[in-house]
Amino acid sequence: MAIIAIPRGRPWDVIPGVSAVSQGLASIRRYPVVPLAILLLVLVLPAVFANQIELHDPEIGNLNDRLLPPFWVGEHIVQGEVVREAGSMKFPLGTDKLGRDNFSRMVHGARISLTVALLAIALGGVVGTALGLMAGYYGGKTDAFIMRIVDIKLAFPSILLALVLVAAFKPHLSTVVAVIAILLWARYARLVGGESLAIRHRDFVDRARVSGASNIRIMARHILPNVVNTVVVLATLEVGHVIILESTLSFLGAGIPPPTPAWGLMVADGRTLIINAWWVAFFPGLAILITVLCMNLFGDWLRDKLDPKLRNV
Amino acid sequence: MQRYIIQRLAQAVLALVVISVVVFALARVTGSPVDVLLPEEATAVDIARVEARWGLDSPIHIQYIKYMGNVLRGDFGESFRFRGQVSDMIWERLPATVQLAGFAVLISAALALPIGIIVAVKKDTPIDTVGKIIALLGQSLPSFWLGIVLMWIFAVHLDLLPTSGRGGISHMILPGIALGWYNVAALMRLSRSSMLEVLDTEYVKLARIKGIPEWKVIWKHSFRTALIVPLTYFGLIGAVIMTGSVVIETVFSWPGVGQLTIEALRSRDYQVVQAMVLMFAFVFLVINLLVDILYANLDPRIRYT
Repeated sequence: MAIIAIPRGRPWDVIPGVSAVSQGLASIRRYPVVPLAILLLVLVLPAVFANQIELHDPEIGNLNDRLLPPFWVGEHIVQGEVVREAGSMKFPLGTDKLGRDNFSRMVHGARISLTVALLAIALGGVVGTALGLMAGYYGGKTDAFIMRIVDIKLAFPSILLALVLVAAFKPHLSTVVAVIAILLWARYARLVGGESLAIRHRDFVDRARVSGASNIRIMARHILPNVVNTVVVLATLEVGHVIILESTLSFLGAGIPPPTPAWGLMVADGRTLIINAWWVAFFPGLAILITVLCMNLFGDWLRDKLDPKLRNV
Repeated sequence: MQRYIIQRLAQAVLALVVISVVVFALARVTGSPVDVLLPEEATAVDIARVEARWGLDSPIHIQYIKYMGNVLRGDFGESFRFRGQVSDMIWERLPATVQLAGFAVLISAALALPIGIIVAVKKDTPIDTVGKIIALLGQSLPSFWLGIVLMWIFAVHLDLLPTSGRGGISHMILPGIALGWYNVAALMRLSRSSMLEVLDTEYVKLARIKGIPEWKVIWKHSFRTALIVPLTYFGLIGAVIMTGSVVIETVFSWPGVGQLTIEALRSRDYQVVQAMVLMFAFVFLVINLLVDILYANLDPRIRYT
């Protein structure tokens, strides 16, 4: 989705007639340092300063500390009586209904979201790429067969399929990873299949065959390196998508089981508390938004660099 | 063209068969429905009686064929959890979902198309930048969170709109926006790029040279042509909104089929889940089929690849 015309020149060059904000946005896309930096700030800084901020156990809380607000919110007084204590730096982003520290849970949640995303993409990507290579290299009936399966897979409504699959098996991190991988592999197969179909008649493939290379060797050493850019770009573009998918599943109660601090679960916990304790649902959602936004910006940049023809993916 | 349609139709039917087999098998392989129907301390006699009552004592492929035969006649069987026919439960909930989904599509179109056009006309101005930010956020905002934040701002803080449930138009606004948001961003991007292309054509340049007022050039000469691309995208919107309704109905306690699906999943009421998946898959496939045929009609190259 590249809708921003990227102005030529360095980010600090002012282009007349184009607004400063617009140029700022464009240079973010041109130089992915900014989104990456934000991402690092959100994910890495808390880990580095864990000692200063004092991370709490994300799964065990003290009921005396339940529903404390973020540190900048003062105490809530109704008719001279303190209904809610003021927030403090002990729990910088407040606590949830079991007295667990919101911030510590978010930091751990980041790890879970990223783990699920990376594992699911790796699994789906490897399977999809392997099938795509086979389809493209062997062509003919193999190609037709694999591509029919891909068509059928792409005709499934994905969230619903995921919901049913997760519900049918035990709710666990590995179930979620497997289910998301099942949703993902088809796009890799289709893209890689198309590309390797175009490559398999090139001279270097024929020469490799003449010199006695096996089919597997040709696929792995001669065709794969030519499609790996596509795979990497697609994988990066899908990180944000997968994080949203995982958090949606968790939100609906069909993803990571509680008390694990998954972002989607935290938002679900906070949904019914929105009137009294907005921070429980607000911050984990914000974390999802920032992470996905940064990953999308980075993916866009990588695609423009490595594989501009993927624009419509 | 005919061959293409038949081919796509066969594919859709095949996909539907695969979906039904997968869901039917999942519901039975991962734990017998008897566990859901009876308490743990049930005796063997009870189990045998219940199995006979629900037809669970015959082999699984016989059960499947029987079930699909009934489904083709519009009979999805009885619910495990609630007394009553599954099809009645669905018919009861369907109007709420159609109402909300229709409203969301309407909002998406009413917001996205004009904004996309305006943003294209005002290319490289602050207005364009706002449009770009909306487009970026569209892909990155999780809809369930957007729903909760909207609820928090407009229902809890400002007290302008009701928090949840079904009622008048005011009940539809927040869930409608949360449901349509992704599409607003996607449609806006499409209409922007489409409009930019149209504005660059010879006939628009000619219209300008002829001295036709700018608003007329934009809204009369270019707007309609620029609509073609986003309109073909409408089929996909239907699909996005359908799966989105499962999420948004949960957030806003909207009494539609999406909420029914989640309730059924939680209580392991496979009869309902099966019916819902089949229904969603059917609608999804029909929409996709129509879109593909429409595309093939507009672009002959697709038919021959």
